[in-house]
Amino acid sequence: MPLTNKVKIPIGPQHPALKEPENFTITLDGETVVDVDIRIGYVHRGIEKLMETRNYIQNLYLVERICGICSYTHTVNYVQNVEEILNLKIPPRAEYIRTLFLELERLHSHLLWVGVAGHEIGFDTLFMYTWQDREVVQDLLEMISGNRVNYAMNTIGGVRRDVSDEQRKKIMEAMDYLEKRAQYYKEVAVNEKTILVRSEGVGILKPQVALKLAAVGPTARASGINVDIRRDDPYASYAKTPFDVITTDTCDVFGRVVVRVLELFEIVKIIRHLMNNLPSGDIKIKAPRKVPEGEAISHTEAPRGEDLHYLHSNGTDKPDRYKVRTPTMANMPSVAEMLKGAYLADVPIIIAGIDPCMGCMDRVLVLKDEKDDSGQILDMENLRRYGIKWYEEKGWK
Amino acid sequence: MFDNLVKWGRLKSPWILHMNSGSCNGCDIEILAALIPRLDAERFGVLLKGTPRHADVLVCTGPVTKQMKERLKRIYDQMPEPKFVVVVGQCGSSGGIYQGAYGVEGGIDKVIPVDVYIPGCPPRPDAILNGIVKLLAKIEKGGAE
Amino acid sequence: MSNEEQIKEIISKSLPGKTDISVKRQRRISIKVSRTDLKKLMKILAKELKAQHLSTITARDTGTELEILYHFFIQNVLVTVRTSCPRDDPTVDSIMDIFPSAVLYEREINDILGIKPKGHLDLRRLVLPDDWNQGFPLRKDWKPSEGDAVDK
Repeated sequence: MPLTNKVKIPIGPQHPALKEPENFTITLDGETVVDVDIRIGYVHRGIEKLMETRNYIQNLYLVERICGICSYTHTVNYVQNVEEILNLKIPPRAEYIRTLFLELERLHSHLLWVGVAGHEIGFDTLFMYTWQDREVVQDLLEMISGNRVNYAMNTIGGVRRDVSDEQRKKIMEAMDYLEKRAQYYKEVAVNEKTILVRSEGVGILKPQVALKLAAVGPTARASGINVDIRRDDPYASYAKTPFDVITTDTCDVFGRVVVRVLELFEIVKIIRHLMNNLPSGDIKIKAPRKVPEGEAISHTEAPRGEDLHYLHSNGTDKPDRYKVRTPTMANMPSVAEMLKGAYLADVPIIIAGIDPCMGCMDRVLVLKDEKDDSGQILDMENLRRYGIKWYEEKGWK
Repeated sequence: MFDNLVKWGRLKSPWILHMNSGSCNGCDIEILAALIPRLDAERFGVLLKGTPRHADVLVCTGPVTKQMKERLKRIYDQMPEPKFVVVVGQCGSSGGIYQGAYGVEGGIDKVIPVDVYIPGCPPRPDAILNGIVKLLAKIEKGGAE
Repeated sequence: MSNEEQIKEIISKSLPGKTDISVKRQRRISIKVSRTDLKKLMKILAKELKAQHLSTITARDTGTELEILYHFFIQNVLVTVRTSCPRDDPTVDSIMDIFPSAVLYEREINDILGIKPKGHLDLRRLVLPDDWNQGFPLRKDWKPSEGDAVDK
């Protein structure tokens, strides 16, 4: 095939003109992706450097805003790092409440994702249903913490707000409702033709490749990789909480749907256990302002996969070096692999399949003909519609 | 007379382009949450569009990272007149919690003119809708600025 | 024998005298190695310990030198391999031929700290803008230039 038939498409946040950083630049041969190039950074704000200029309490609120969907898991990693260097053992009730919020976050995040994935393949009803159900979780989060997003629940030494008996009851009621809804989504996932056609055999990531590229989270577990930090390096109260790690071996987008939907049931199981066994006592202990020289590494199983934080302290009230590696970044090389050999029509759902922080994978892309640089504009919305139409024309409907 | 017709058309169904200029996504989720049945922005005729060329209103989040600055300007320039800008969230309003970070410009109005600011970190979906309704009122009164 | 002790033993035996290993607590091991022996150690991790999961690479400016930390998750233990390079020769061997997942992390430390991974096949910018010409922000002696100030 002569090279002049290949077309390069940058997929990025908005409509770029010439050479600007994109997330992915895709080389197309006909309708098939043959090469993918990664370049991230348009959400790069300079948070790690900023953290060196703020004290440990101020950084609590900054760390939370690394990502608005996985925000709580970032603060858990952060306080765990500081608490380790300070040699602080937080009260058990605080551990349970942290675990509760970690699971509520996973719940809202997975429901959010099912909706977004539905939207990508033209199944907007699914988006409306899941986001409606998600509001139940948002209400719980707001009831306890005061906010729907960015809960400010953690402090160094514990949590800032308690869960009352009344709230516990409401949480349990919500779990009953959401378990029924999860059952409905499970049936939809395995029976709905729209989903099956668009996700089975799409975006293949073989297990050896997943391991080699260090894929994380449901993306890895859908390729049979049995890793979940909650079980493998337990934190908060996960060591005392029974749950199953969900894996499948279809290695495709469908597998990633199945893992997340089945994880919904595990979340309900965990939260019920937490609420039934919530220890009494304090929710925090006092922590000093200055953190002695030291180093700590904490990682959690965020909804998207392993989130790892590193802290180096120097005896002052400000961190010397703070490093964050989000799960979306860990999955970038795997996404590039999944896209190779895929149809253009599958690009939106494959990217959505790793559950990227939405901001990372937004909007418009430009079709550039390598020969004459003539830039045909194709925005992400049109690509999404192109994908839906392409499959309809294949006659599956 | 044509002006009034256009204004009436805008009022009836503002077409929204949603753009993230480097935010943590917190505001972006709440913008989407404003579209779901619970709040239903569509009763205001608010529709999300993917391309700047058809958009009336740019709903923008984020503290404008260095890499997004040119892009933001370009998107704004591509929008046809009359056009309006709604900033959602603290970061878009002033840089928010990222003030001082080397990677951000800080505040969307450093790059493009803004009509409505919706503060919050993030603002609730109803606050966002409220802001958009305020924009519609502003348009009715006489357009941008 | 615990996983931690096992890992420590295998590394000490495979690269005797060249590493400084400390088991900080359960599930945390730190292995210090010189720049020259880094790749040898990486090969041992891959071969003897069957390591595959490189979580990330952290780099920091200690004030006197640049330290690079490679965080692996091996047999449920977070193993951190650390090495360092002088500020006036900020280079280290790339490990992307052994651990392909290092490809983005090495680009990042090159971007923000100016540590060049020798042998890396693609050192374009990753997180900083293409037209960034203000040095390495995560270095301790870095100062934002005039046009960079954001109101506080």
